[in-house]
Amino acid sequence: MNESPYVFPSLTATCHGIPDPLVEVDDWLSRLQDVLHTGPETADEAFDLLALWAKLRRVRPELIEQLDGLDALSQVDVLLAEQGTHLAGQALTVPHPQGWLEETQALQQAFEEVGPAEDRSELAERLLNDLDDAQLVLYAARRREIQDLDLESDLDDCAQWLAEHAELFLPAAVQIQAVGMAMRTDLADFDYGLAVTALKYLDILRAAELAEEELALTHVPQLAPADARRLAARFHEQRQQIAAIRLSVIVVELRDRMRRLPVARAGETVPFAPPYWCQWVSPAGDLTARLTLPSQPAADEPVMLEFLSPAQERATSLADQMVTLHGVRATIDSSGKATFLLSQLLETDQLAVLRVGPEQVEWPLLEASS
Amino acid sequence: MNQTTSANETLQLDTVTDPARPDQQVSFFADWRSAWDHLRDHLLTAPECFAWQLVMPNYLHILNPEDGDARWTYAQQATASQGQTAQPLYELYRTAVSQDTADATLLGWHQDGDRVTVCLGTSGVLVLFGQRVVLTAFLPGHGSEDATRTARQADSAADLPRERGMRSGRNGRRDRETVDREQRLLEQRQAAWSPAERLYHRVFKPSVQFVKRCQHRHRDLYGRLIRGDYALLKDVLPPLSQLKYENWITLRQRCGRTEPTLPASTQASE
Repeated sequence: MNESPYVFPSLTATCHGIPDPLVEVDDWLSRLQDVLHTGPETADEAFDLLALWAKLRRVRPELIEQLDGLDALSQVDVLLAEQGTHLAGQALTVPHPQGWLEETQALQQAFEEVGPAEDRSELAERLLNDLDDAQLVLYAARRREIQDLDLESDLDDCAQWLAEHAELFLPAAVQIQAVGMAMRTDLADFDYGLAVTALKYLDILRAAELAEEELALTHVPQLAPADARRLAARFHEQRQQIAAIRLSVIVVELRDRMRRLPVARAGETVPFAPPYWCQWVSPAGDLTARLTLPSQPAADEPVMLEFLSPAQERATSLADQMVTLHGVRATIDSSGKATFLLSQLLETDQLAVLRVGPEQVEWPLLEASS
Repeated sequence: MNQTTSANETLQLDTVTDPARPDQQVSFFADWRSAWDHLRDHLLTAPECFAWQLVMPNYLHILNPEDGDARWTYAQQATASQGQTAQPLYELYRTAVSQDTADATLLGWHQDGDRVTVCLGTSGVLVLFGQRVVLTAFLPGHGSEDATRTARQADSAADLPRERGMRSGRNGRRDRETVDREQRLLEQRQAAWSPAERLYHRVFKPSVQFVKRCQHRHRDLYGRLIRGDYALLKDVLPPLSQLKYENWITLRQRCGRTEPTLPASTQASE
């Protein structure tokens, strides 16, 4: 089966044997049995009968045999021999390609909205099945020498839309792989008209293959480990330099605002600005220190340096340890924070330097707000 | 008011049998609130309530699910009484679930997952068991967002599932008269169904179809399950094509079920 043009062994789900063609064939057979049981008497039932009959003609015969479905297919053959032309005429009144094209908008929109993934999967599956059924009914009608050029042209437009938007049907990719697995491997030789109706599945399977390749970055050449390490080190160094420059800018701005404070109090409008912040990381990388600076400073304003665990909880284990920031000393309190006066921090020339603990180990600057 | 009296003033919980471990009784929901939430969301919400009416015909002795106002009033009273006034409906629900879990034990229609056990019975009730507690019990495919939306818009013929998109009928090819005639034909055909046929066609078969479709639908691009519990049943349920009405009747008889009957008043009105 792996040599089938409708099976893409590189797809992860296929590779792991997840799509089950019997589930799909069983569903089609069961629905066919329902239509046979009741009639078919209505146009919808005639449509279903022809679509399911043609769908099952595309299927590997051994799967139908495995599900004891040969009897049902024989019954349809007898029915079509007797009433095929009448049923095809009835069925052709059902498909409405314009309605289908309008419904595709909902599929496009589904990707823009938050919602359960299975809703997108269901919608994609239904749209694909509806187009497939309509194409199969047209195929069945043609076999009875009933031509419907308008419908043919309209369905070609739908198929063209699908080919251009195959990636929108990826939420139904596993079901489509199962349908592909159900198809006869010799379909093009067996019945070219039927093989044409299967082309859309190939479009979507190719889109799935491409999506998996892109997501796995298979086309991106692997970096040599030494190069990767060098690039990472350079990134960290540059990030630290950028953070230090940003912090210098922040300090200059704050000094300037401190100088203009009396003017501001005299009535100048001070625009709102969010607070500044900068962050250091411990040498082991397990703790961070975050300093928050007010954007409209007062000379005697206290500012806090918080020490945080990876869970963003205060690192109280550092309580009572000495910390030096910008050359100004303080002690970490029992809640894992050290308090400084803003004016003291702005007077120092040792920008961006944080030392912690009895050994006064320097913590590298990680980032600063821009 | 003493504490004992206060505790008795909520919905009283009962147990059902774990289908995978028939010697174990498990609580039918963890607490009255969870039980009441499920009663409200499944038995009192359209369209699933209509299907429950077919599973447990005595539902009509409590209220008529066709009457939306009656359902609303019932739900309001039950909320105010901490589920106490919904005790009769809870008992019906539990009985229906018990019967289906017993079917699942007999037919082997149950499967254990990592954290849950899932089973389906011959009425189409899907039950999900956690650690010694029922987590949910519902009729698959009847309470989906889409089905609920369609039920709310039931007055609008344009929203019938068969009349959307590709199947909405070609302009100029399908006149309203033909559509109406065919609709009447379908209604007449369905009106002639026995209660058992209704249960099979409207509840059981759609439930099994839903469960089977989950096998492919509830997966991501790589085939990983995004909502996996129902797909567990795929390998223990027979193929749909081998669950024709006659097969289903045989299975029901094997499970000791008798054909459900509707209350006399409803039969007369049909």
